[in-house]
Amino acid sequence: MYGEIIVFLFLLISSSYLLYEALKLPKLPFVVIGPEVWPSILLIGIIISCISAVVYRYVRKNYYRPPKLGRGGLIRVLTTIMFIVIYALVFEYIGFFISTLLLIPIYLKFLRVRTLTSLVVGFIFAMLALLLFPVFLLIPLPRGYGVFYDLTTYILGLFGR
Amino acid sequence: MMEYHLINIYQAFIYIITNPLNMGVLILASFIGLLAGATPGITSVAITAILLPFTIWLPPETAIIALVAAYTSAVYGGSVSAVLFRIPGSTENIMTALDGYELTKAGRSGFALMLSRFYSFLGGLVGGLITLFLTPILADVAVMFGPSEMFALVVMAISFLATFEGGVKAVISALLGFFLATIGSDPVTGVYRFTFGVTILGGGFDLVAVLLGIFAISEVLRLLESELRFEVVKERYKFRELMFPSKELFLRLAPPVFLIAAPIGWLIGFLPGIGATTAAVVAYLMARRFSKSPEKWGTGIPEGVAVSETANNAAAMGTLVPTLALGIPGGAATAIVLGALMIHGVIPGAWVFTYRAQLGYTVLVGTVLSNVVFYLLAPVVIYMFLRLGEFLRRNIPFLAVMVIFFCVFGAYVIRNSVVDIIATLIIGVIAYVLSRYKFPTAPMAIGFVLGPLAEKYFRRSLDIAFGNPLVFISSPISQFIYIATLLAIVIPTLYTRLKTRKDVKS
Repeated sequence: MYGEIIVFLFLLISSSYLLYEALKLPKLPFVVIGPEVWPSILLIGIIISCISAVVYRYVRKNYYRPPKLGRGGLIRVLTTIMFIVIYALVFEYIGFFISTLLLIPIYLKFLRVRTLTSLVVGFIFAMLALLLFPVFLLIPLPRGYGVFYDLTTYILGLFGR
Repeated sequence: MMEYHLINIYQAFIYIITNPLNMGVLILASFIGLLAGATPGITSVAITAILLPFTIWLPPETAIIALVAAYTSAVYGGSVSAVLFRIPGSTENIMTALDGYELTKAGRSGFALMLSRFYSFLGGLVGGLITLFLTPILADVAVMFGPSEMFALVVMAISFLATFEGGVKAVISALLGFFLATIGSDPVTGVYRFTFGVTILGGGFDLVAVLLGIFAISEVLRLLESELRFEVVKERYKFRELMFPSKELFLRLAPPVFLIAAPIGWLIGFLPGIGATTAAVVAYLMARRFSKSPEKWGTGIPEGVAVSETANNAAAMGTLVPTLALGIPGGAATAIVLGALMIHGVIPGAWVFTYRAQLGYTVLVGTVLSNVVFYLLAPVVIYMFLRLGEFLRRNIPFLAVMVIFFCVFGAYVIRNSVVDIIATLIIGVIAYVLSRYKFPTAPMAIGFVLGPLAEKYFRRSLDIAFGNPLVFISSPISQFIYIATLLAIVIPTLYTRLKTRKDVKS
C-alpha cells in the first residue's frame, strides 16, 4: 500500500538534494542564464508534482498496488541485475570474449536451461560478439589483461585481427 | 526554373539506373544499412560512420548515395528490433517500440513489421519527393529559424506530452527524462553538473544508453518477473498481408500519416540541428493529440507504428536539405555526409544545385531510389528476424540473454566505457521500478530526447536578449507556433467535450 508513496517520497528527497546541488553550481558573471537555472526549474517541477501526488493520495486514500512479485520472480530480477553488474565489472579485466563465454552459460544455467544448451548459447554469443564488432565492424573491444589478453588476441588473430 | 529542375532530375535518374556502380553501391549499402539497423546496438549514425572510410575511393556522387542509402535503410531497419524486442535499433525508432512491441505481444509481429516497412517506405518517398522538388527553393527558409523559434517548436512538442495517460506520473516521468539530459558538462559554460566526480559523466548520458535502459533492460526485468515460458500464438499470414496494408487500413491511417507525420517529420528534419529522432517524437505526440482515441496510443495500434515510421523516414530525407544547400547538418548522420562531401572536395551550398547540378541532383534522386531499394530488400531481413523473434519469445531465457548481450555491447561501444553499461543498468532499473508503479516510461525517453534542445534554445534565446523573456514571443514565426500549439490543445479538447455532451444527450 505504501510502495507508491515510498516511490514519490524517494523522488521528492532525491530531487530536493539535487536541487541543493544545483544551487551550489558556480555562478559565472558573464553568463545571463547560469548552468543551475534549467535543472532547477525541472527539479522544482518534480518536487511540486511529488508533493501534490502524495497529498492527493493521502487525502483520497487512493493508492495503486502493483501486481505481487513472487519469490521466484524477485530472485530472477535481482540475479539479472547482479549478472549485468558482474558482466560490466569483468568486461575489461578478462576481455569481452572470455567474459561472454563464461558468464552467459552460468546465467542460463541459473534460468534452468540445460547445461549443454547453455554452453552452446554462450559460445554462439561469444562468437557473435567477436565476428560482429572487432572483425566485421572494426570496433575495438577490451581484450582483458595478462593471460586473458593473450588468449583473446590469439582468437582474434585466427580471424585476421 | 521548374523545367531546368525537372530536366536535372530526369538526367540524374538515368545516370543512376544506367550506371552499374551506382546501382550496385545503392543495393549493397541499403542491405548493410538494413542489417545494421535491425541489429540492436548499431545505430544509423554508427553504420554511416563505419561506411565512410569505404566510400573514399568512390566518385563523389556514388559515395554520398552509399552513405545516404545506408542511413535511410538503417532508420527503417531499426524498427525491426523495436517491434520484435522493444529495443529501438536506431534512436529514430523510439516511438515505434511503443505500439510495435505491443502488437508483437498480441501475436501480430508480422503485421507490425509490414506497417513499419510500408510506412517507412512511404515516409521516405514523400519526404524524398518534397526534398527533390523543394530543396533549391526552400533552402533559405531554414535559416529563418533562430533559437526562440526553435524553442517554440520544442515547447509545442512538450505540450503534447500532456496527452499521455498517467496524469502527474507522466509529468514526473517526462521531467525525469529532461533532468537526466542535464547531467554532464553544461553546454554553455562547461561547468560539470551532477557528475559527482565521475569524469566520464562529463559527457552526459548517451541517448543510446538511456533508450536501452528505459526500453530494453526494464522490459527484460518485467519479463523475468513471470514464468519463463509462455505460449506464443503461431502467426500465419497471407503473402499480400505482409506486403501492403488493406485498403480500409490505408484509408484509416491516411489522415495522420499524410497530414501530420510526413509534413511534420520532413519539416523538423529540414530544420538544422534537430534530427529524425525528435521528428518521430513530435509527429507521434501531435498525431496522438489529434486522434479521436488518444488513450489507445501505446497499447498497440497501427497508427502508432505508421506515424512514427513515416515521420522518421520523412525527416531523414528532410535533413539532407540544410546539409546540401546550406552546409548545416540536420543531424549526426548528415554531419557524416557533410564530412564525406568535404573529403571529396565539394563545398556545400546553394551552388551545389547550379554549378555542380549533377552531384546535387544525383544525391537527391539516389536518396529517393534508396527507399525503393530498401523496400524491396526488407522482406529478407524481416523473415530472418521474425523467425528469430518467434523463437526467442517462446524461450524467455534466450530472449533475456540476447537483450542483455546487445545492451552490454551496445552501451559499451558508445564510448568504450563500462560506465555506460552501468548507466544503462541503473536507468533500466529505475524505469522498471517506475513502470511497476504505473509511471509511463515513454515520456521519460521523450524528455531525454527533447531536453538538450529545450535547454539549448531556452538559454540561447535569453542570452541573445540579455535575459528579456519577451524574446520568446517577439518573432512572427514563434507567435504562429505558439498560437498553433494553443489551438492544437484547445480544439481536440473542445471537440471531445462537445462530442461527449452530444452522446450524453442522445
